[in-house]
Amino acid sequence: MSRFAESPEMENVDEQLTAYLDGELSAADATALEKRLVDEESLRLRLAELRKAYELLDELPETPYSQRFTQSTLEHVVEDFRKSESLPKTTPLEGRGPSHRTKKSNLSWNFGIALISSIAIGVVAGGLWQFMQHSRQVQDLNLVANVTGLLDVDELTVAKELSQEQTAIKYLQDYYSDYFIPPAPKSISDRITWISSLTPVQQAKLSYNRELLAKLDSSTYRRIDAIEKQIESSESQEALHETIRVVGLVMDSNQNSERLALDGMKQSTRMRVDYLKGKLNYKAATHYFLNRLPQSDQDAVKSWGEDTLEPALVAVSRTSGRNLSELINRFMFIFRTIDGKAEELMTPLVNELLPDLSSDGRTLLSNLRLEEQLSVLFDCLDPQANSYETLLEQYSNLPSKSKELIDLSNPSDTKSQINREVLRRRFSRPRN
Amino acid sequence: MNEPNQISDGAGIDPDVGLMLRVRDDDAVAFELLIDRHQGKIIRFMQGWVANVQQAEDLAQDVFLRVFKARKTYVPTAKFTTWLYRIAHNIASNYIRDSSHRREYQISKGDSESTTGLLIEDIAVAPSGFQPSRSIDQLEKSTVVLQALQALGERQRTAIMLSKFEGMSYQEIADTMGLSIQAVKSLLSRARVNLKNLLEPYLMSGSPPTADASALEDNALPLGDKE
Repeated sequence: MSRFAESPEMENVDEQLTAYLDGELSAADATALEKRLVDEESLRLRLAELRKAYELLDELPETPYSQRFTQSTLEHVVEDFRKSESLPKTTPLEGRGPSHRTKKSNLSWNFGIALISSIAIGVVAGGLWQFMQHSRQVQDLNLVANVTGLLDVDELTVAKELSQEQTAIKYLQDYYSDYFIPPAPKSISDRITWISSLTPVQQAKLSYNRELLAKLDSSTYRRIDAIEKQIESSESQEALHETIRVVGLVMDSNQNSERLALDGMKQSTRMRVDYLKGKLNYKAATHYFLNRLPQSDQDAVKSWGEDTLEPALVAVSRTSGRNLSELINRFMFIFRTIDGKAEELMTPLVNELLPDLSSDGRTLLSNLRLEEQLSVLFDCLDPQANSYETLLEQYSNLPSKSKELIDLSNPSDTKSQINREVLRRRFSRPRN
Repeated sequence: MNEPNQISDGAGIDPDVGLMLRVRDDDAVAFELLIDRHQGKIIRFMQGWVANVQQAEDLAQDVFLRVFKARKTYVPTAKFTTWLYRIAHNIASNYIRDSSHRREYQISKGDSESTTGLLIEDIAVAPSGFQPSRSIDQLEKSTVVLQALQALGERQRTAIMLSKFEGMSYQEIADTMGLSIQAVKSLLSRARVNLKNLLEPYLMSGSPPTADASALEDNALPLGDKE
């Protein structure tokens, strides 16, 4: 038998045989084919080959059920919602804090909280009551509240090192203020009052953690319980609890692969610390520069953008008359595709800005890698670059062939597809 | 065979449709149940597209994220899985279309269309150094089968996965993929033939396949098919 179907007749036979195997032939066609199969050995052989190929797919392993996948996906959904509802949609460097939000965005934000609460309702129902019925769990409340973070830090040394990142932790607590569970008081009676003082979202979080804790295997449970006991006998227990909870929240909001990458760092404390430090600082810096930038830092970034960055980008892209958004897009394209030179140019530029920032701004920015620094600063300088109004305009300017390539059914995909297509067209034009 | 616009699975209303209608009304528990029910299948579907399980899980998360985002526009006109796998197929093919991922994908396919078959050969030979005719163990066999699946054209791969793992009829696959039934028939036939050609040398004759990637491509569909 030859390897590929060479002729239309052969293709037709294969289609008939496949449809027969799939039970998709009409009764009359199936009977006719069966008559041929009786008489034609080559046809029977071909049928057996096609059946065998299909059966080989049974070799693919089934993916086992994972409660962690479900939880991580729920967190991912909530985080995405939070992100889409809290992104600034104002002019550059204006209206950063919640106090500047428009009435419309305030409504959206409230809806966001309601949604997060609604995600939690089923889990919360009865959860609080059960907490109170189980004195052991009330006693171990910090362990329950810390469970995801404890799994991520995996050892006390890591938690202690991360607790030094105080600036990042401060802004992350602010970012997750509707989620963050404060450390529980020491007395059991105070703890019961403390539980009822939590918001519905915090209660939901606690219930999720409680379910997760109950599903841990005994050795993992013992390990994180031992870390928690060490923390509770430490003088800096409050700072450690805050750190661990923030780590858990940051990692919850990342995709599953980030957590798997972290799980893979069992052998190296240093790698684990560096990885988590990077995550904490980037998330905190993004929140600070997009939502919490004080006026003095707004002025510093704005002046730096106009006086230092823009002339440098004009020089490197060898163009003039473009707006900052286009210059940034072009520069980031160069940065991501050409090694070395862009980094040489940008490092001293960013260093020029650092002394003009407040202590918090400087700390957060200087703890990032160069590409992360640029990403944060560019978003801060030009939040409109990725606004839906801009994207819509870019989309309407695309030729119809390019438009056909873009899937409009999902906003987040649409955004990246339009950006890619705009960049592709812009940089594939021949240079004059 | 189910007809379009039916939401019955033969034994009553499709339970997933009921759950999805609750999700549409912001019922979080229903959403959690939907993830629980479909996570394994969606991750396995994505494993047919990407090189490793972590990427497959990320893409599966994106599927559920999109299900949640689209909940308000959900209309129960077909089986829930038809809608779910349409989303999964779109996410997977958009991911592959993204140039930054394309390179990675091509590496997983053998870095070049012309070496598709050779990658499978490498996998079968590399661990022991023996020729492919030797007996391969279960894990290795599943890896070879997965690589063969990944070497198929996008539409062939989706069609055969929906047929094999979801037990979808041709009509349901056609609805999911936005194709005619004849196109599905052709895709599935080609997918079976290509799988046979890729896997047969290892499991039957012991000689490596020679690559002819053009025969694996979806665009070898008969004229008159959609897309």
